[in-house]
Amino acid sequence: MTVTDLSHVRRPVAEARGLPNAHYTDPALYAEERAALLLRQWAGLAVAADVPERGDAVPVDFLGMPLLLLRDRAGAVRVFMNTCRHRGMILVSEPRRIEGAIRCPYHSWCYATDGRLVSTPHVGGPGRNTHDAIRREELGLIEVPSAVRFGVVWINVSGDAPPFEAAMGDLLARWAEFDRDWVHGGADSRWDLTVAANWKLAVENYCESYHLPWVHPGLNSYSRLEDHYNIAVPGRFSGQGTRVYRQLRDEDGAVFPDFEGISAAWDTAAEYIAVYPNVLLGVHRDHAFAILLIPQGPERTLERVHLFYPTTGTDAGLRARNAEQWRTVFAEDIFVVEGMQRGRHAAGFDGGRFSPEMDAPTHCFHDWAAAGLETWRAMARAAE
Amino acid sequence: MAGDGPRGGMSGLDAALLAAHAAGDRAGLVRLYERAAEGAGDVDAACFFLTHAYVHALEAGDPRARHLHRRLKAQGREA
Repeated sequence: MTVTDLSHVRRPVAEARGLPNAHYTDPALYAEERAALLLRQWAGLAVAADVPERGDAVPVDFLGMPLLLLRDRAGAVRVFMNTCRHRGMILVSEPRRIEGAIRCPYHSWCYATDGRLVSTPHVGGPGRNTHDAIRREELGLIEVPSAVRFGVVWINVSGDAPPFEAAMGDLLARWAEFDRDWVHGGADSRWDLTVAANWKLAVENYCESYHLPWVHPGLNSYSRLEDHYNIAVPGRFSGQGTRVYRQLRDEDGAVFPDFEGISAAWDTAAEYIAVYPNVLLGVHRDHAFAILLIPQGPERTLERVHLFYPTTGTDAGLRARNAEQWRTVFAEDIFVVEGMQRGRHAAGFDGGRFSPEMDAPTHCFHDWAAAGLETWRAMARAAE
Repeated sequence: MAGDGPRGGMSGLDAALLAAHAAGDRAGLVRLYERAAEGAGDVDAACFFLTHAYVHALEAGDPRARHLHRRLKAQGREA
């Protein structure tokens, strides 16, 4: 097992160096981070809009695990291991509507949409559907703790993170005015990007504004560097805010409706926060977005982009323009994260330095990652 | 359903079941398996077919699942 020295990462920002190269390239460290940083936190899996109707079920691969995202009969979004408790068969292979029960295609054990095992045909012999050894109440689908907030379905695979409300308390307080049902913009408001980069580089690039004038000159024409401020809450999240958000308008001057009850403080403000480990959120008075970073390996990441609005029935033309605007911005970042990935193969690169003024949010993320890894390693040592 | 079941050569019911399976016609499967149970020679065979009718009804959210469950439970074959 590769064990890296993380002590320099946890130094104050002016003295710190970033995570060592191996954290971006080494499969063993990728596996360690998967366990220490991605499965033990509240990670973003999908959006609730992926399962809009009761009974909707979508199989999702998350870090090599087969999960089943579904909306149960009562309307609640749930996440289960997509695996039959009998012989481990995959239950649902394609997105579909569950009309009644989830029937395993192998021996037809059936589960209710709330995960209960409801039928075990022939388990006691032909035509005998019970057996004392097979206690249905103990053999429901394995449920993954989940929460829906900001349009996102968050999961804690290990099951040992603090409750969602506690873990996200700082963010929920900061963004209380945005803590409501976000309406997904629909098919024209979602797209995927696949980048040849470690997932952490997408976080690092997202949470700082230092690069904006160089990488996003279009944004900088109205949102200048000096209009931005840093956000860094150690151990939780980091990002940036702007004081000069300008609403998108069509030819007639029409804009999207505001989130209900939003205060004047948000008239020209917007914030962009990376919620550790893998959710990038952006909020504005009239729309929001979420980017879910789904790691595909040490050097490959799927980015799922979703735009949300305060209400249903927003104007399709304006939505398309907004999507196009964000498509351009997010595409401009690809060469950076992929370039940093290639750069991480340089022998002797020591993790890099941080501008104490401009890179505090990035260092905040590195510090969180290093702390999580140190905790994980201490637990592993204690278990030996 | 001696002479009229899966082991007794291709009957009209067999053919209909195969067609329903091929078409993914779950409502048809419920009806046909229940009919197979009616023609079964003994309780075990009947419960075998009722089980299939019940499972397909469960999967489809078909209200017939309720009475199929009752019939199986009455025979001590379902919980």
